[in-house]
Amino acid sequence: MMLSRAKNWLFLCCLLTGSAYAAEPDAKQWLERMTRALAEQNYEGFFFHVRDERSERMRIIHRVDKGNVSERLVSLDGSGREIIRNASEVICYLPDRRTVLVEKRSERSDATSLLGGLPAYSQSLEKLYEIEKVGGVVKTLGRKTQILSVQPRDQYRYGYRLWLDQETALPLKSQLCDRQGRVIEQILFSEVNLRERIAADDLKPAVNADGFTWLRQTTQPVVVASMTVGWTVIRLPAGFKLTERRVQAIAGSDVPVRHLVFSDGLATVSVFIEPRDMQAQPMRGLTRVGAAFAYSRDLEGHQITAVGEVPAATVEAIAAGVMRDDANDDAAASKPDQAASASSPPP
Amino acid sequence: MSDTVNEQLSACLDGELPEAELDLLLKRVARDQELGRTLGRFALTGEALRGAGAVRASASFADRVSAAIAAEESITPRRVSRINPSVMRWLRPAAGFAIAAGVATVAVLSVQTTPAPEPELVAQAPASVSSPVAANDSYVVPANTISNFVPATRLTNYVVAHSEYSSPLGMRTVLSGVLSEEDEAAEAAASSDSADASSSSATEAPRP
Repeated sequence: MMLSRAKNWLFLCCLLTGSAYAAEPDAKQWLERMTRALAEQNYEGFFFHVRDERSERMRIIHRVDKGNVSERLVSLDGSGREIIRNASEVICYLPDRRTVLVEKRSERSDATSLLGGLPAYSQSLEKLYEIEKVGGVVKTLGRKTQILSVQPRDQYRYGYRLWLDQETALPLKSQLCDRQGRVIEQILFSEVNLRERIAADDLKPAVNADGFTWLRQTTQPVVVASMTVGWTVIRLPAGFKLTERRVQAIAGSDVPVRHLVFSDGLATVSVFIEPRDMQAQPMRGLTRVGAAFAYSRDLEGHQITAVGEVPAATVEAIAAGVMRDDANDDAAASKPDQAASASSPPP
Repeated sequence: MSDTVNEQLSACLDGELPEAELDLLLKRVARDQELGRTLGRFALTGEALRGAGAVRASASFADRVSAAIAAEESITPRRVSRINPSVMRWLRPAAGFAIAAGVATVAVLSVQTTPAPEPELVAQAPASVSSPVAANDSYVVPANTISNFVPATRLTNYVVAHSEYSSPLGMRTVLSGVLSEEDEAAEAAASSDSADASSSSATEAPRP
């Protein structure tokens, strides 16, 4: 049965090391199918988000209309938080903080919203992850599913175990795992409804945000070429490459923030760099948001924060590698007077 | 339509229809468009009810949960999620997902929560990794380095901005994390939040 399979699988995981196995083509196809299914289908349902000893029930509504994807994610227990993504914005309703955050989405993600963030499969991805089917089709709780294992080959990224519906390729159950196969987080669907169409009204928030503080980007980010250079990250963990540089406004701040994105093809880490607010405490050290880690430090009058759904070691290593790029110095775009007064030697 | 069929549909969605009857019912659904529409209505009604709040587990559901826990892998279950029993079975895709009402209801029953590892996972030796940072990576992250300095809202901003670049799976992980973020993190940051609030007050805007 599936359970003994799971044990065998765990056992196998212990035996297999990072030898250079190529992923089975079929396994890659499953992963690509799943990625497309997640983006392209109309569906709504309920899932349990399980981490540590907490389990939270969530509602998801995913709508594709004329190539535009919108999605609503609602916490049904506790906080009542909601996140609504559409082609132009990501809106977070945080009733427990009486706050609404509005993030403008980038041009880039507008252009690729339908298939946004499709991982690129390549030899280099296979160097970093072992992607394979686990066993044949198993009947998981009454439904035919294929178990897919995406196993990281080092400790700088997480892997996944995915139970993919044979017919739709939607992940009915997914586990985020560390390199040892220990489960960090699970998403378990209790119900998925595929629909021909989803009404636009279903994407409206249930939260009454009257009287909440709305944090928006008040300034359009000034996209000056010189602002996107001037910083670099050295000694990146294996496989991570710079995939995006942008200057963006962040809700609640009138200072443009540099945003560098690093990806290994599956996992991503963002680095945010902004001039430090000298009145506020600098942010330092490791923080956790769900299964994501953030690592902050201050450097030459700037606040550096690396964020990603990766192990703590990865955000820390990437944050530690941030440095001024003298070859492309953009001092004019920052505030050199502050930099002088606040520079602190790197640890 | 007969009451019997209505009862069967209802029982089906409540997960209480015997397997044999479910098969028969699904065959009928495949043949009978009207029945399909009714099933769609039932599903929607159930959804509306579930949306209202309380999640109850029937006795037989509790039994199944217990059985499933007993049978699951040997990782210690810490807590059993209360899972809505309303849709306990998959509707077989006899008619594909194009059931007449355009609503196909599918469900998974999963019960176990697995304790997540603490950040100790980074404590392992760098081993044979060819990473350029492996050489100086033999550190451990003690629990108490989890900092309280990051103003909660600022961090949420970053995480949301980051999520745009995540893979679909990663995005779901990240955004679910924002939704279920523990309040203690927000409270711990409350003191620095006030400083954050003052600096961001200029950007506050009333709801349009």
